[in-house]
Amino acid sequence: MVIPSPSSPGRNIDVCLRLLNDELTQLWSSGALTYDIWSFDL
Amino acid sequence: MFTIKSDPELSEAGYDKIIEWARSILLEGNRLKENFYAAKSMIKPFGLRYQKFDMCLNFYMLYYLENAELTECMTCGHSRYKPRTGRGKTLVAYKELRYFPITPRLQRLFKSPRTAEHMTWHQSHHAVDGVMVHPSDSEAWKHFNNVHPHFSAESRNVRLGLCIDRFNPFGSFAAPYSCWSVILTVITCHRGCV
Repeated sequence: MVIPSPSSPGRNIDVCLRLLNDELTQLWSSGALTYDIWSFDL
Repeated sequence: MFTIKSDPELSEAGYDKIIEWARSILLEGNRLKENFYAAKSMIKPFGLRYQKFDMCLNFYMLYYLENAELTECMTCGHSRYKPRTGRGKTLVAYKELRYFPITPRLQRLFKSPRTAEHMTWHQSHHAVDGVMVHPSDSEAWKHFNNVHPHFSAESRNVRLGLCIDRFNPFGSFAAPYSCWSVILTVITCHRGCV
């Protein structure tokens, strides 16, 4: 993620991290189906 | 070819010139893409896209999901877009955040045999007693395994480290144009892998 800003967003960076939080929460709870080429497995 | 372009910070025009020359010495019917734009279109399906989101200039809110249509900040009332200049119809936002979705990037790590092999390295490597060569040898890692046995049962589950830093995309003299990057690193592999 890239946030354009001359100064640090400080505590308000949580506003930006919401995007990341949403995606990680989704990955933690339901995960994503991925093909593993090393073990030829899903 | 992309590595050749990005490592020495070669410009797009420079890349196109090299490709033009390379194509002139290659045989007819070669499949080398004619310019940078065509080559970039080719790698689109690999899942390395990014998304752009507008955000409040004062970091109060993100124009995302339920707030995607708003034109001013709910907290400070600052306008989302810059005032229009000239006859252009495009609205330009004051602040635009670039988000690189993590899911396709992680899936990609498992698609290449070279990287997929290392994704389970944290479980298969043998540590020497008393020597910490990787975070997986640490007490914190083992504690996490005990707390979340369901997660640690599958060694291919990815663990991520978060770091934030400031960088300047236009060199050290362009101070007003600095950016803050939020980077997620995969810590299940050994160092030097990703």
